[in-house]
Amino acid sequence: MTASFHRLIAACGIFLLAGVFADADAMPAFARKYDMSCAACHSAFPKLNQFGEHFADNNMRLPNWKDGTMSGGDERLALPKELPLAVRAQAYMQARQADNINPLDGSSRSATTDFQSPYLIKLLSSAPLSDHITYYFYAIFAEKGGNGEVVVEDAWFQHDDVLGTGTSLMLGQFQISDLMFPREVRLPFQDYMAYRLAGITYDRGVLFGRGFGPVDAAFGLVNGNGVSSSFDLNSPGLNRPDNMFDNDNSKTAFGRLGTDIGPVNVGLFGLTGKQRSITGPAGLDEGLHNRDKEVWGLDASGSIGPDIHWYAQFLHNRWDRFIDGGPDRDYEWSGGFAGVDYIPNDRWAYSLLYNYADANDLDDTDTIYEGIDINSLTLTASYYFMRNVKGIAELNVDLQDKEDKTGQYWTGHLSREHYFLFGFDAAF
Amino acid sequence: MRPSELPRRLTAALLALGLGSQAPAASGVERFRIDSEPAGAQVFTISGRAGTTPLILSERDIYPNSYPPEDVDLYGIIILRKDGCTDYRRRVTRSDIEQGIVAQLDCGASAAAVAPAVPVPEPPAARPAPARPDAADAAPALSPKAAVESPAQRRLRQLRVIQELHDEGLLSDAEEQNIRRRILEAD
Repeated sequence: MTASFHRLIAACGIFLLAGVFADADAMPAFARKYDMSCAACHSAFPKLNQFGEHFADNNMRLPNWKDGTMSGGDERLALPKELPLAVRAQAYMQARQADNINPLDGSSRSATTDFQSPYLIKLLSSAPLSDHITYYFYAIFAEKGGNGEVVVEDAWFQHDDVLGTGTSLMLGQFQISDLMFPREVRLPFQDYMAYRLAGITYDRGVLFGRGFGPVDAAFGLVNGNGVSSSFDLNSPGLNRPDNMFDNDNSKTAFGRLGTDIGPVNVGLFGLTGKQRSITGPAGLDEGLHNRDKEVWGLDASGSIGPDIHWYAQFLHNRWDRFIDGGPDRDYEWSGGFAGVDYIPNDRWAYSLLYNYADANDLDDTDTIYEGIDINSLTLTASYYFMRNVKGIAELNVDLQDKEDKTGQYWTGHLSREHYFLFGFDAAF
Repeated sequence: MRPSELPRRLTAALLALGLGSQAPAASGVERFRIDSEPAGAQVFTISGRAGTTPLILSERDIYPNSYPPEDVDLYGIIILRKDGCTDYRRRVTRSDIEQGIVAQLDCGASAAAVAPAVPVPEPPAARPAPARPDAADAAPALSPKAAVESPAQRRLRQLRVIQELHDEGLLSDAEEQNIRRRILEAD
């Protein structure tokens, strides 16, 4: 658990506010490289269809990937003829019924309407570099109004057949939760909140994957402290500072086993690692200790006919001795989400997403983690002007009852949070 | 408007926006035309038999959102079949969709192989209406692989596939030889 994660939660005041950050991806550079329509890989951008998933599973390449490269007569060179770049841009207008409440003094600010334009500008790049190695990265400019900074999220190399074993290896920065339902290809603007709350999104590490008959297995190791922390190391050599991304000596291990049972794909996920404890007023500060953390989950997905796709995720979390200075106890909480995408034609897509989380043992701790209370329903309509340009309208209804302040600090679900959002989303 | 009314009103607006929509009108980039020389060739896609040339298909005919996994090598492919002619196979590109396809079928000893796609004018009204899989011939649609394919033809098709995979570097020499031997030794 990182300080930045704490700050994120605190800054948002209440969790639903944090949950509407969308970052979805589509990769028009592939369409250009292979001279194919976006429709080849997307049922409704950015959602992948069956072939899109097949393409991703095949290390993001088609058999003729060398057609778009130049070698200059060198058989050990396959430079992309054109720099494979793509742009994703989003702009929204939002109406929100919610307050941003300072957990320390209860002061609040609210803006019922906001022009979130630009909301996100993203530069993406990916290409096969050899018969087995592909790279992928994207950088975000001005996300959520953050002008003056660039954030790199996905950034990795992947080898699809290590030592001829049929095992893939991804090294870099990625989302742990991509093993289940990648947030980047969801249709709603609303997020899969349980992933964010459980802290299983972006991290740095390595991920292995292999199929064993009908079972797909994946196993990974990550630093476990997200993608923002690092510290300087000066010991090797005279005055030679280096930057270490992991700020503790533990690694987080995780994995998933998945298989098809009839028309339903099911998966079992597990993670074990450590996270920083919390301390200070309202639990806003990073604590002194590394504490054990465990997550396990069940996921399922399938289709009903050619136009309806459904998915569901359950996560259970155990955070051992998470609160410094509090009772010496372990905290457990659970959450999940379920959704349906209905794509009746090439112009419209509709999505329904239900998010749920219960703070359970974290209730009444007088920390911001009481805010792990979500019960929301999101309805999204997307209209595709073109394959790669859509208008989106989304309504989020907060079904959770508003709670009164119970402790010293302004924590918990103190305000209901409905929103309506309208805007544009394009990839080119 | 009172704050408590906001969700209800917005829900109504969203539903009105979405449910009031109609199916999309066809646009130029979503459908494409297939002609053949000679005309009257049956066109197969991953979805089965689509109709007879001249024919207009949609992108989703060749790029369906779901398909039997074992048919993945037919994704984005059209196959034209006509008695007395060699099967014509082509991976459809975005350029094909924009410009249309004219397939020169090899119906004789000296016929050309694959001709490049050239711009084709809009079909005149007298031409057959666009054919969709569900509006194709009354006979049940067959997949290209299943359509009158003898064991020898199947073997030949499999050999072509592994040759392509080998040419593209996806199979090593040893793998290609091993698979080729198994195909040839199969009953």
